[in-house]
Amino acid sequence: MIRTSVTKLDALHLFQQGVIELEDLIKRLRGETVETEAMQFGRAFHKLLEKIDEIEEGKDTEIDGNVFNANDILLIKNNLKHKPALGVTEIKDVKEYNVDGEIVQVSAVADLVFGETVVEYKTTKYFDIEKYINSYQWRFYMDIFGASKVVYNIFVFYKDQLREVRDFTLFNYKDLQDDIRFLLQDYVKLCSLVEI
Amino acid sequence: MKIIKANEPLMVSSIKVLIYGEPGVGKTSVASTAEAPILLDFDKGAYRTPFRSDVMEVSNFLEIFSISEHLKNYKTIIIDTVDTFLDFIGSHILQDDPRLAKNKLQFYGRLKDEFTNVMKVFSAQNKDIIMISHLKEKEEGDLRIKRPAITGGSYDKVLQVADLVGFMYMANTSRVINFNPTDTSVGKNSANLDLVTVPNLSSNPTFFKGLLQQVKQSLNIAIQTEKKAVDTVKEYKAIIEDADLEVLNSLLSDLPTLNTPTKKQVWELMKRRANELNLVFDNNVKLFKQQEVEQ
Repeated sequence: MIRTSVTKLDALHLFQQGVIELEDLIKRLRGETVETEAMQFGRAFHKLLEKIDEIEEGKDTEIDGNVFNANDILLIKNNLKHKPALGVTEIKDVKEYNVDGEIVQVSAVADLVFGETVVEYKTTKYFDIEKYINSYQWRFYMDIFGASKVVYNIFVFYKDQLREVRDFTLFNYKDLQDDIRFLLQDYVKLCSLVEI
Repeated sequence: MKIIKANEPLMVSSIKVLIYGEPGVGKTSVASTAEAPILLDFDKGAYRTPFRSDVMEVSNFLEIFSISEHLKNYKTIIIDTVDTFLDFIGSHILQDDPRLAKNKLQFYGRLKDEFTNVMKVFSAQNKDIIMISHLKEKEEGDLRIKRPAITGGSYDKVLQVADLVGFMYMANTSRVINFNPTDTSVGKNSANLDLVTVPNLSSNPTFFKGLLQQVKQSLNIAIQTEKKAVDTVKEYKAIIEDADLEVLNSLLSDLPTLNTPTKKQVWELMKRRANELNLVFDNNVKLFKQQEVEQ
């Protein structure tokens, strides 16, 4: 059995698109990547979301060395797509796929499942909608969580200041299963060539 | 005026569609088969369309806000092309505040705001909006990605507001529209549509009207299904919050009856409650049980 995650499969797709090099892909698949500042900030942001309802209005909050000012916290609160309280946050799940006889177990963690919707909260410096549309994260989430749509709620921070909040929805489509299967087939082939 | 209560789902009565493709493939003709259409001809290219609707030539951005009265007999507004429309908005912004020519960030911010305003004005009148765009190819690694030819920062906004994004092209001798996102073309398919083959429009003059009705029906079913799922999880949440071992085990038989996303949420809530109660799930007997304390 091959155990992997949605993040690793997405890395393979980034490599196939020419966005990352082979060396970077292998590092990502082996979990050897060093956490970047942006990743640390994203992690702090998720911690902020977990306790956003408990934060006193008008107060700045520091999480792991990142300061979120009171105005930004209010903006974040007002722009959250779907109230986390109405769904279930941080759902972990795994799904086993039979890829031409090889079992591939794919793990996923969704920020929020609400009704039949998966909501992903992201931070970024520059908003590029295609980065999300092209990704395989939402395709796997759709399949693993049985969702009918995935909503990306994007918080654009520039120099630690919240500049813009965007959200957009991606939907299930007819060829989604095929797209997932093709990527898994490539992943199995890669695993037979490189020790991961 | 109709008041929709907080517990009632808001239904979709108008939608926004973006169709893009090579010049001459028939985008405007297809859009013209929507319900009671009017073409806002920003590109001054309506004369090229053999199968066209009523046309309004727009010479400046502010006219958009003064044409409401003329639009009342129309159900669909075709913006041809959305890129030229954005240019109109851009020219208006720079006339209004020339300093923004030197501040791209603020300029694009304002452009997005003005675009959103127009969309709101049309949507408030319950109009379907079809945005037409030419095609642009972008190289990404070894792939050539086909995408709508829309100016810089506003591209994201157009894709964000559209319920459907379809790439129209010739496949052998047929014209088709693919709403699916693929590795080589941008798409958005909120109604799970198959590859759409465009029929002969002369004998199918309401082709796009039918397609948009199908999309609205599909979106409204999805809204109702979503509401049902949210309500179901809410009910289980209330039970699980105070559940003990016996109640948790009694709920296990409900899980197979729930649809996948609901089941996953309920199961997660049950696991979290079990954790609070120091319970573990015994995979052999498929029941929760008290955690054994090691002596």
